[in-house]
Amino acid sequence: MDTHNKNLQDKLNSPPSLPKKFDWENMEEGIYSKMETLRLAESSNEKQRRRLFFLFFLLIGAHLCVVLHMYNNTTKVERIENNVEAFTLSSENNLNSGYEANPAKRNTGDEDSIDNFNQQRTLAEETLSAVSEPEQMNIRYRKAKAKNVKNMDAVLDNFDTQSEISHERTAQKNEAYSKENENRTDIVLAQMEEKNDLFPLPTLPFAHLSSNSSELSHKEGLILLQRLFIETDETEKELPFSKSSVGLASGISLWNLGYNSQVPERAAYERSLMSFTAQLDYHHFVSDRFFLSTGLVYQRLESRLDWSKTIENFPITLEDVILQRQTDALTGTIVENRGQIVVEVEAQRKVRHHNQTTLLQMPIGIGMAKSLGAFNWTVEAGTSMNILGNSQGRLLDQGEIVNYNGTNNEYFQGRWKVNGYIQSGLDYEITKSWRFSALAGYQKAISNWSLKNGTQMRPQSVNVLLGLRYFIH
Amino acid sequence: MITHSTIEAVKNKDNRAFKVLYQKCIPYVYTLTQRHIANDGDIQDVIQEVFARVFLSIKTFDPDKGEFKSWLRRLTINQCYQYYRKDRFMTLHIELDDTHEITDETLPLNDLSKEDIEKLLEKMPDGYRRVFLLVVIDEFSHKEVGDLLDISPEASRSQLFRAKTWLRHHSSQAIKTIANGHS
Repeated sequence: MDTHNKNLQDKLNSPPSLPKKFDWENMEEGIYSKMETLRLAESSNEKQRRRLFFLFFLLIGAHLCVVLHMYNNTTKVERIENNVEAFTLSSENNLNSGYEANPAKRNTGDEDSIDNFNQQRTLAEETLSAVSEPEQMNIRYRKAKAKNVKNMDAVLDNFDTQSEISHERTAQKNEAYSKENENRTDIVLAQMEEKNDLFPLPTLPFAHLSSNSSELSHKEGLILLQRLFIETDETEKELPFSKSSVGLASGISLWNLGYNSQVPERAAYERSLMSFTAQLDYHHFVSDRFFLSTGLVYQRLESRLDWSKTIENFPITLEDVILQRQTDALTGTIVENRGQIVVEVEAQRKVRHHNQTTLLQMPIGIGMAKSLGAFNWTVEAGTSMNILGNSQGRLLDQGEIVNYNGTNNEYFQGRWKVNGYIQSGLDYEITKSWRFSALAGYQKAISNWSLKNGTQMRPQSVNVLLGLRYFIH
Repeated sequence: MITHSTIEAVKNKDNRAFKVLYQKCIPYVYTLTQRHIANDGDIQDVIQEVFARVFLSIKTFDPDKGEFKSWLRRLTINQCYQYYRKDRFMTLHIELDDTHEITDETLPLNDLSKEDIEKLLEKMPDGYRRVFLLVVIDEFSHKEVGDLLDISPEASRSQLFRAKTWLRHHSSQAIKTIANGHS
């Protein structure tokens, strides 16, 4: 047969006589014009692909940035706190006490004390550079630092030699001020004013330090400032969180029927299609980070049945067929008897049908939120129950196509089934109350939907949603 | 048929190479297109589309994976059916005549000339002819035919079986007619 086909192929593929219109000169223009059209179409497709690719990586990038920022922030705070602990007030007090008790000791060159002091000073400077200052202070501090960076060592040395005078002066002032107002931060402010060139922060609220004012040096001020900054940072993190928020989002779902190894007949002919999901959720914050979540989720899951079968003896009725023809022998008139006949033929039956399952779910979950500037990252997990489930469509059962509809059929049931879900979201602040929200989640049915023995059906879906979130203040 | 250097030159968008490739390939592409496109008026348009795609996508041709002729054949036939899908609704006819159980024996076409076979194929119902040409002449598998014509592989097999039955019946008549004509 192969040789025979080969002969036939050779015969049919033998070159024909080519019409003149197929010469290159006559075809060239048309080919180039079509190439241009194809190029434009390809470039348009390419642009669309790139846009999708860019959006996809933008989302991933945004998530990564948020996670990295969270990580860096945590480690920075830990590092600062460790440095602050290392540079304890007690050791600083001992140093100062030493100067006060015997100022000449340093002048005569007590190496241990000088080394110790230099180490502490380096540590203080490093710690200072690691601090994340609020912007308003930062500008002023940078100006002062830039102005004084060349004379830093000289100023710090001068500071030490002046410390004795300063302490005496501040002690006198403290006595006077304490009579007027015990809550004022006289000593620290006085020191800061005196060292205005180095560190011009005279307006900072050091009221709670007044009790230790006589003991505080300039470097202690720096350390306490760091603590203030850390506390300010923490306070800022808490600000974006309100007690509760409501979100509305919708988008696409990629899903599958989730059969186990023993699949029903329909599985081979039914294919899930891209579907639609919308959700209204409510987050109630139990702390600044954790929240409880509930709401309503609407899912319209679609699939397509695509089945064909060859039917050997398919009866068809042929209308108006000549059954009998009679010729009158005398007149030659032909009389035809017409009627209908039924014949059996081989036919192909092709069924293509869109099936639809509509679900209304109520999720209950717990989540965690992290706010960073304009972004708010959330992750939550929990369970949801299908409080409504309506299906309609056609499926294959024992070689026959059958219709199903309603909330319950003999093949599967989606209502009152429990799902597990996990969802991550990224919100972007539009106003104080409103945020743009992008969500990605995975959901899988925990309960078996199938009503047939031995068959497991646990639909699962990946949802990508976009929407808005409103924070209730 | 086509040298490696010509293909490389086309890949480098050399206009002279386009012409060389076109002149070498056009008889084969014309034969294929003529066989699969019923309307002569559309053949020129389809061939232009085929060569535009050949020039643009020749970079995807890998000589290690197969001959250039096979690559060109698939591209041309796909384009022919793309044309059908784009502009008109393609239907496959299932004849209601009786069929007899036959064995898969040699078709009596060797005694016929190319023109006679072409005439015979023109008379063949569309659905039979398409499947017969794709499977027997163009060496497509039933799965590939199914994908191309949007039918199942089983339907493709069934159509081929019927096409062969039809050919056997009608080629015998054609041979008789030719024999009578000679005598």
